[in-house]
Amino acid sequence: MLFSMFKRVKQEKRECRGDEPALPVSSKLQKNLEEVQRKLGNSTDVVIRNFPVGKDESSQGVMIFVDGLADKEMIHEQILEPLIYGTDPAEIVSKGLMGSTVKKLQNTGILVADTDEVKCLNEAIEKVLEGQTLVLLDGVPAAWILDTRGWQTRGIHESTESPIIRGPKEAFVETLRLNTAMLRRKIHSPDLRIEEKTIGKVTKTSVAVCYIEGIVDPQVVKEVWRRLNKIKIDGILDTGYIEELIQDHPFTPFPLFNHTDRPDKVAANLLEGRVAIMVDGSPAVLTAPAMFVEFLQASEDYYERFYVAALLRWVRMLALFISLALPAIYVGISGYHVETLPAALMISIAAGRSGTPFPVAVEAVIMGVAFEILREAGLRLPKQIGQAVSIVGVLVIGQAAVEAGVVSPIMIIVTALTAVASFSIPNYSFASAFIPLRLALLFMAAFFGVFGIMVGGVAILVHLASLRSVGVPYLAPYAPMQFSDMKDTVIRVPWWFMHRRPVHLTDNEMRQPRGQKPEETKGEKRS
Amino acid sequence: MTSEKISHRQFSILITATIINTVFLTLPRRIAIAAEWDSPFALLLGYFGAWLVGVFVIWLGLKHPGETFVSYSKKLLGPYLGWLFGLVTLLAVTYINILDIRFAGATYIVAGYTETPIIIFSGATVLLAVWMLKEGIEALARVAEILIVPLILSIVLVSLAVSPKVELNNLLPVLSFGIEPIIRGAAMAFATGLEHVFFVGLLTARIQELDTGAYKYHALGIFWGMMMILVLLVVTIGVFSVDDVKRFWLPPFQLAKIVEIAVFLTGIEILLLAIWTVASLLDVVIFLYVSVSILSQLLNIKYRDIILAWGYLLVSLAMAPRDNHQVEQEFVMTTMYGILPAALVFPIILFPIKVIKDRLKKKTAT
Amino acid sequence: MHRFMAACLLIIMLVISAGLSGCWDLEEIEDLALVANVAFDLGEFKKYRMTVQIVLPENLGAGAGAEGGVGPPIFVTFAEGQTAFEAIQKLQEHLPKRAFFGNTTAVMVGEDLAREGLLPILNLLEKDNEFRRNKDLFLSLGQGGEILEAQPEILANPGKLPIGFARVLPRISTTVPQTIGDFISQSTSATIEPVMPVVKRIEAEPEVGDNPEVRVAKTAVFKRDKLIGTLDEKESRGLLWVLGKIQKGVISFTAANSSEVVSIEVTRAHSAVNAKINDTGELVINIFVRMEGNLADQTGMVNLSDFEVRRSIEASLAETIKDEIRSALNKAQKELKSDVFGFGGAFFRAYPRLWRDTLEKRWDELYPFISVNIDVKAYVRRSNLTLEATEPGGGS
Repeated sequence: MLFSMFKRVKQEKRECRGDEPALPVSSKLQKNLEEVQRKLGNSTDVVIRNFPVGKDESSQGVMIFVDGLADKEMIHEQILEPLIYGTDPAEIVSKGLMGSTVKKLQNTGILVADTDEVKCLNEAIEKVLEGQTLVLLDGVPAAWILDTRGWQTRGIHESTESPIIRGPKEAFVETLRLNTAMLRRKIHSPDLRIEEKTIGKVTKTSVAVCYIEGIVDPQVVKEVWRRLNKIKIDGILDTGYIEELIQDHPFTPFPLFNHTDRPDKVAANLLEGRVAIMVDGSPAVLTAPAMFVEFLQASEDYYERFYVAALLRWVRMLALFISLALPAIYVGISGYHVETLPAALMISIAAGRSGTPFPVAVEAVIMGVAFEILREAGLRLPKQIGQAVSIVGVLVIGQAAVEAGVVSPIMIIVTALTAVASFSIPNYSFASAFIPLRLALLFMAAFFGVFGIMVGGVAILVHLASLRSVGVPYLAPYAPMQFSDMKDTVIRVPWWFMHRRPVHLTDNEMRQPRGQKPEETKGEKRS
Repeated sequence: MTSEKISHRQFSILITATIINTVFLTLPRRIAIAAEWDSPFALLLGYFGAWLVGVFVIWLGLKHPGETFVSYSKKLLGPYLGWLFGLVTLLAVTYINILDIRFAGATYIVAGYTETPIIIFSGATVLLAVWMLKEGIEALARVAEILIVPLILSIVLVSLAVSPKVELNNLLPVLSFGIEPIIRGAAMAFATGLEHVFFVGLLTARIQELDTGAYKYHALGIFWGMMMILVLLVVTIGVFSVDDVKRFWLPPFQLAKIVEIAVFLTGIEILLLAIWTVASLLDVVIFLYVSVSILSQLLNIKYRDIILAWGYLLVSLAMAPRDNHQVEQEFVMTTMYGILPAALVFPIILFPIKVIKDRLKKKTAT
Repeated sequence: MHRFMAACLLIIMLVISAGLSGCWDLEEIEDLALVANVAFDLGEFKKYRMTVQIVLPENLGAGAGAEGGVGPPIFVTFAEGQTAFEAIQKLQEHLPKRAFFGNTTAVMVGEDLAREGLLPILNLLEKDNEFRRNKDLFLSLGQGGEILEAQPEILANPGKLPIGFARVLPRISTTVPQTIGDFISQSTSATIEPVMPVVKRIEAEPEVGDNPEVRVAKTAVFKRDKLIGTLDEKESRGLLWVLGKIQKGVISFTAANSSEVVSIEVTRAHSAVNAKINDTGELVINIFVRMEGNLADQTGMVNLSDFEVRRSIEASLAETIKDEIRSALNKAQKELKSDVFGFGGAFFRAYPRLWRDTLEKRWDELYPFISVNIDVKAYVRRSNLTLEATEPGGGS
């Protein structure tokens, strides 16, 4: 089924179909050239090079490529030179059939690995815009496409989104081909499938779906393709577009697809039976189905000792709770249930609050908003200015505000703790999902105290419980409870104990045979 | 991929939630009044009986796969009697539901929200419940799966925190006033425990791959729910003495008020009450589900269409002015004279009819 | 879409319902008068007088300013009412902030009020959502309100005085700590009578510049909820032995056949009270006390390495404890006729039906004539860091 779908995609390319009227390649060079020029306009980066073919220059050819996308050196040495000096024109004229001509031409010294022949000018132009070179010969009703793609790319750098200390540091770049290569380099299995499709009426962006055949749940791949095929949009500039277009619940604040720029993370996800979606032009790779627990897992959890990993996960969970609920809890308790505070803390809060102008709820909102402004300013500005902003921010919302008696000191602590906690969640999109929820809880707490927090919390939980990501319950393995999957949630069991893949993601559960626990060496060392 | 089905484990957890629901706050007092020092035994006996009745309901459910008790009772009793039985259960469950909705608010009022109108608490609880039901029984099961954890943890934590204050002398003497107080207390526990029976009667139609394993998970669900109530009962009596427990409206809440963790953490009753909101929420949502399911099946409509209106109706009924004593009395009256007889229909009438029908069928077949 | 609309509707309804009239119970913490302790007395004009001790956080040196200490850290005021609750309402006439009792640590009751009965006021403390049953209860000799005005120098926050005492009391075991909840349940139950520690204010000496001082000693004995007498320290200790509530404490006695005084530090104690009805129909209580302790101090040369000496010390220790218990029995059972030991409970647990049918009704007559057997097992386990006593040296 899948294979046939893939085939169909390929066939579309061959048969010269599309939204626009088809332009078959004419045998007259001049006509083709006019057509191409009409389509491309007079863009300065499109190079159209006329050249005589053969030694006696009896025939004419045209070569079209985009400057900057195509590798010029390659064009000079591998295409132009053999075309002008190496071909025998008599044969071209006498045969007149492109099929055999191409074969002949290939045999005459053109050293390009990937060549193709198309009958349709629209498609040929698309290829040119991808960086390939189009060669048209007079009297031949076919276009010859030579893959000369080679443009300046950003080098592979360390991941900026989730840097780690131990483990692979490389990150995806903006070039799809490079990204798929990086993935291939991690997974050498022939079962790794990378299927592509062009999405975007204007941008014609390549979108790749990667998975490991035999591990992935075929239903999930089918579902992902079904949703991708439904997309009709003019342009795709990032995986974020795709995410919003295909997620299960259009309005949820929670990310239903995980994204990362780390090849190792993508590889690990594929090994658990997930599907990765890559988009040309963006280093962010989507993986699906995503689950709630996944967003609290960092790559390093799997590379460090497992106790440490478990401990850090607890810290992250605590941080998640703090970043979601701390301001609300502070407002709820100090506004409604003072008796819950330890006596000494109550006295110091009361002392700090005396003389401040705003009610505690308003204070919390002001400080929360002030922090978000500061964070946004620090994030978008160039680094040097960002530092200045943060220093000013520290002074203004910190010390000065307290000394002026505008804000109580405990509120500063609460805000700062919340802020720091929200940064310790590994996934940025996930962490930012909690900003609106934090505000909502704060309002609930201001109006109804602890009861409001509880109602808000349960409402969030109900929402989470109703979510699914590509059909998989979002809260799995907590709910529906899957005991065997708990090995990689609140704790991370050692690798020799991780026998099974997550049950919710795959039917091919066995990851590795049992009994891999390393033997303990005891007593004297044997020689 | 969405299906309105739940797993066996979720079934078990929903049963536990139904058993604990809000009665863990009030039941210690009700049993202590009847059974005094023998309360723990009365509780065990009562819930054992409730479990037995539940077993009959599951048996009937297994015999009618995919059907709720409303539909199979119509088959067994005839359309009119079956409809009437549905109506009676509907009335009993709805009344309990209304009282629970009021109770959900009243606990907050006495816990310190003196100025907030009760409709806020009851209304918010019912709105959440309606929303949960709109998401479907599957989402409800998942929510229950998660919420049961803090609920049970809070009960265990409170019990552990006050356990140094338990005085053995308060729990003695046991079994020294004959069988009568035990029976009286057990009747109370039995009637309260039977509330879950209707839910089971509906859930058997919703369990994925329903088989005899349901018996086990049902028993487990009852066991854990009962254990929680038992722990609270023993601890409240141990800490406060029987006479005091009789006097308190919500003995476990009094317990929560005196919890002291590591000297400085005192007065955390509101946090515990907040967690116990979960219990009343689960309680309301489960009974709302039961009542609206019965109603929708009696009227042959989809429950999602009427749930919001039904919720509004129940809230407005719950807001009828009552005092705590009345609510408490009505609770006891409804469980004793509404829930108890209606639930006993399963083992006493439906079960023999089914057995006889099956026999007759066999005879005619052979 | 449907779900989203439902969710939106829910949120909008909640927000609107909240926004229209919300924040009913919201109280800013600085608008509360934080009551540290309360005292109840008989009123001059109305039935009850309630005195509150309010902590002033600004003057406690907490918070941002940190200068603090400008004025006194507490503020004491009182009001009267026909019921305790009415007194609280009247209190607001003196207070521009709402009196908040959530963190109240202790309740003092005046002597006069205690003689009239405490349940009418304690009832409130159990009903109200702000008070807690596990707060400490003290009887003040004299007016309860006086205690709250004391500002001992050792405490920056004088509001912590009662709770400080409540924490120290188990270490010295000279009086019996009591909580509101236990007092209520004991005074309503027929099987035991309540007791309460007594606090006393010792007046200041102005010329020395002393602050008034507060001292905890003695135990007040109640019959139902009415004060009928007090036990002194020795008797209180005796009561504690019977109740099994001794945790720490020092027993000093003169060792047998010598004049030196030995102090034993109690490390572990356990007691059991068993009720029995003899063949002759006589009600008998058997008290069994087992204690372990260290020889903490000695004035002379008790040499514990000698087995005989150890035995004799243990014997006189047991005798001392017995003596304490006996004195408590004499006072409480014979003189005050109040069942503070919980003998009624012992009979109830041993003979529940009999208790229900006959004993309970006649308990007041029967109680003073119950014969009590005391069995004490006392052990001295160690003598801390020195094994032998210090002796004045020099040749003989």
